Amino acid sequence: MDKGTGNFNDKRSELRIPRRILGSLLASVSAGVVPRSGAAYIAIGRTDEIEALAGDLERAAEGEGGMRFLIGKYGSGKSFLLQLMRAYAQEQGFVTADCDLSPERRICGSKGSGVATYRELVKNLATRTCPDGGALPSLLSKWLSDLRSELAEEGITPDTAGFRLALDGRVHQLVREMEGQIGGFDFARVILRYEDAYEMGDDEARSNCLRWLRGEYTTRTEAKQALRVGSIIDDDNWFDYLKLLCAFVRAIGYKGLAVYLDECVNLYKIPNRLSRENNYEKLLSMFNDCLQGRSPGMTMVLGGTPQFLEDPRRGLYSYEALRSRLADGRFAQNAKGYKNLLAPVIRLRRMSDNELLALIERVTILYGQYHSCEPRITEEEKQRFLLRCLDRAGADEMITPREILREYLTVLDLLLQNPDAAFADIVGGVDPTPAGGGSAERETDDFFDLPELKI
Amino acid sequence: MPKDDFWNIENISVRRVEPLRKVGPLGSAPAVPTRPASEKPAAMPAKPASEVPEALTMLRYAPENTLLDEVKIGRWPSHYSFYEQFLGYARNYFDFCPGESEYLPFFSFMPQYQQMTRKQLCYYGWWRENLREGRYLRTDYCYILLYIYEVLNLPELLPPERGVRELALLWANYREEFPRLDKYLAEWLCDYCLIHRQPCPRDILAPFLQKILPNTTLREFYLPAAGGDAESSAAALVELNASYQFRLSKYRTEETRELFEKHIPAAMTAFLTEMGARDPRFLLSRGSEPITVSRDSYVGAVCAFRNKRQITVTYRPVVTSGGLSPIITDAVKSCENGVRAALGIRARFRVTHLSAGMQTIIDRYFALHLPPLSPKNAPVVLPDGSVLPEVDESAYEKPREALSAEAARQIEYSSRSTAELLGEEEDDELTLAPAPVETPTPEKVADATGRELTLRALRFLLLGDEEGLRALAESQTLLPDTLVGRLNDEALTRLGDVIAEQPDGAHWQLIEDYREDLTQWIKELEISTTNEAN
Repeated sequence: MDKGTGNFNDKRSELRIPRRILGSLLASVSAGVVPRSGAAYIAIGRTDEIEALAGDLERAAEGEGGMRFLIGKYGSGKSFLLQLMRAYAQEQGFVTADCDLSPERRICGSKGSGVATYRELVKNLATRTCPDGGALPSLLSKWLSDLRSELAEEGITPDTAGFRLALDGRVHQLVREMEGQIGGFDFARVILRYEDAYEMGDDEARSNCLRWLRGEYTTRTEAKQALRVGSIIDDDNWFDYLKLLCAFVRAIGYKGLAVYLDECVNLYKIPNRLSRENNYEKLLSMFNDCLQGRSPGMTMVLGGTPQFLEDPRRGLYSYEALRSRLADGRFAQNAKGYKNLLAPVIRLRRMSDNELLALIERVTILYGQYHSCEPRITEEEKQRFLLRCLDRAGADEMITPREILREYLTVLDLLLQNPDAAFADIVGGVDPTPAGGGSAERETDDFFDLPELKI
Repeated sequence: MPKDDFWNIENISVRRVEPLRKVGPLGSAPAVPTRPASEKPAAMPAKPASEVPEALTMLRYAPENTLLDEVKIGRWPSHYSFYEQFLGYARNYFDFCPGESEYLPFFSFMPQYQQMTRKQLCYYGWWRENLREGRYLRTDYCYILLYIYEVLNLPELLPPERGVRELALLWANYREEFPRLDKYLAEWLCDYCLIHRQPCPRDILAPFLQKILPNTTLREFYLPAAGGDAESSAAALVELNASYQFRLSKYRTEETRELFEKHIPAAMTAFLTEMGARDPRFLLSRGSEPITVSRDSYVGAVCAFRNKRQITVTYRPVVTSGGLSPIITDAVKSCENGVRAALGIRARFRVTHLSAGMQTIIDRYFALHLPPLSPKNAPVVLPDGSVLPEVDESAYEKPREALSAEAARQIEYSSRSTAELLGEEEDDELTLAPAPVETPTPEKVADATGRELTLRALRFLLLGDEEGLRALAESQTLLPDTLVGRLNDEALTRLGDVIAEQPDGAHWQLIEDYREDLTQWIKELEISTTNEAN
């Protein structure tokens, strides 16, 4: 990417984005989904929050661990910020893993809902050169390649008699450091088995190792038969294996493991109190591990709503141990209005109207870049469009940047494809629909349906 | 001709036996004149209903807090004396307190003191003494009537403000046992209040006010829609239409009464106000033209001339829509469900006549003012006694500021640094690792420089020659994934994106968007390689 030289006059030369990324970005925004790539180019505001999270990555690269809670209302940009930081972490040389929690994927559960989260995380392992996930095989391949290269530098090639011995020695040296951790012994054995299978060209054994690492074995018997290891990754121990994975990726040359968990409100929604508290207890254990140095190189960011965090009956604050760690102290409560980005909780306020206008401005520039033309929309029309969006019933609570951008790109597309159409033709004739989705129910007379009354 | 006494009916009529009268400790009682059994009370002079003439008007006023516009009280036009005796007795017996007495039945078509035996009189005194102190003993209908007549005829001894409450309490406590009271007291109490300018004791009558309304000729006196405000109008609509009385609920106890009295009327007010805004049939309306009615006070009661009045009332009658009753009844029940939920009572009414929107209005009120008291909503108390606050959403709201193109532009410019920060290049350039020093063999492709390796790999990639790429990787003791990974690293630096991907997870392919860029890259490498060679 060509960097800008600080010349604000030429907007287009300031922001040069690879075409594929730009296309993917605009397609995602048009579809109303969070872009997996190129999110940085539509990041407006949030500078302090981004710097705070970037700082966490720096500390993780130095061997510290960390956990943050990114809290914001619906439509405040939590998922966007998580994807943004995920891409940035990859750029910085981290391996990333991300997952959206759901009723089937929790922190802790009895019917595989805990290990389901681990599986999703490992499935979504990504690196800079494998940004879309599924990076586990290429991680391992890269590692083995690098080992081979190291040996080759020392004059030990695959043709050399002592090649296998030397290679095994390097592998053992690496995995030995992990054996001391919980589950480390079996983890190390599987890594060794993978290396062995790779050298021998045994695809089935390689596949079995990958299955084990992904947590896909559901019984110990099966794992023992396939790999001669006595344990599996399950609901109770999946975080221990995530820590081992982190140690492994650091050992093979990455800066660390950045984990992003979104939609944590699903924990808040667990109806059974005991089950919910078990999840919170597990979360507390993860929090302690991250902040007490038991997971060096791992940084975690969890996205959730204010209810997930602060509800005194069902949220994290309902669990005393978490509340005492996460709640604002007395002085912080007195200092409302001041930001504290060093605390575990980062609160995201909704974007201001001017920030939304800035976002529209940015998207206009990107759109023009992609289509190699200047969009036929004036400054005043951009403002008018935004005001029209904000004037809709319920917009104050319900409107999201996602909705605004989706509609805006539709307008730009229409203007592009219909040279005779004017902005007023497209935007002026639209009846305001309630914010919160076009399918939101409107109150009709039937809602207050009255029986026939005799007068 | 001798007098024909065949038609002398006195010979065949039944003689009435006079009761025995004794003068004991009641020595102060006047001699009780006896009256022949055949004597009947003189009939009240027939009088057409008409407005009180000005000459007879004693009082004219506009009652406060009622739906009545004007009340005129006039003297009774024609004098009569047949209840003066009753008045005398009532005054004399007003303070009669004989002490505890045994109950004795008493019946009369027109109860008066002189009709009672001594024991009946003693029991009447005992019963009345308890009644005045708020204890309602066993009694007969005629004792009650006698007491009512006493109150109506003795305003100088029993102040009207107290008389109103005693009548109302009497009514409230005995109407279940003696339903006939509804018919008479509905009118007599109204007359009494109008004559003596007393407000309607709705607080006492409230539990059965709705039952009174059909029995009265002047319901506007009883309706609470006095102030014209939303609360009064709603209360009136409820009284007129609801067939369920929440004040009779078994869950309305001393402890819970306050909640019932505070929230059910308030919720109904909210409900009817909002429904009224949508449909005028839910509004309490009044006729546009005032009407004037005259009434004789205390019809059917024993009333001395000096207390008898003519009353003229001017008002605009209340009009309501038929068919509201099931809706309003269910609304009241739904409101009580809300109170029950707040009290933690599981039992609920089933309501079927409310639409979803109507139910929402009521639910909204209770969610705001009286949420269900369950573990789900109970305040959370910390060990130190403080209460954990609810979610404070103010920290998450967007800041209020005027829309400004200039401000937006500044934000957009300043956000470019974010894009730069997040898209920063690594300080150390990624290059392919130099080929290891090894003994060249005919099988290996000779390649001494990283640039040469990159060039060859890019060529294979451009041609889609995966086998060539694999052979090249092996010749460098690299895995194909690693070789392509290094190409992608370089591409990220150069182009900002990877140039090869594995769409099927197994085979590497060039991303077509970058074919031109790749061609250009190869040209540049060829030129630089050629220049170096030269």
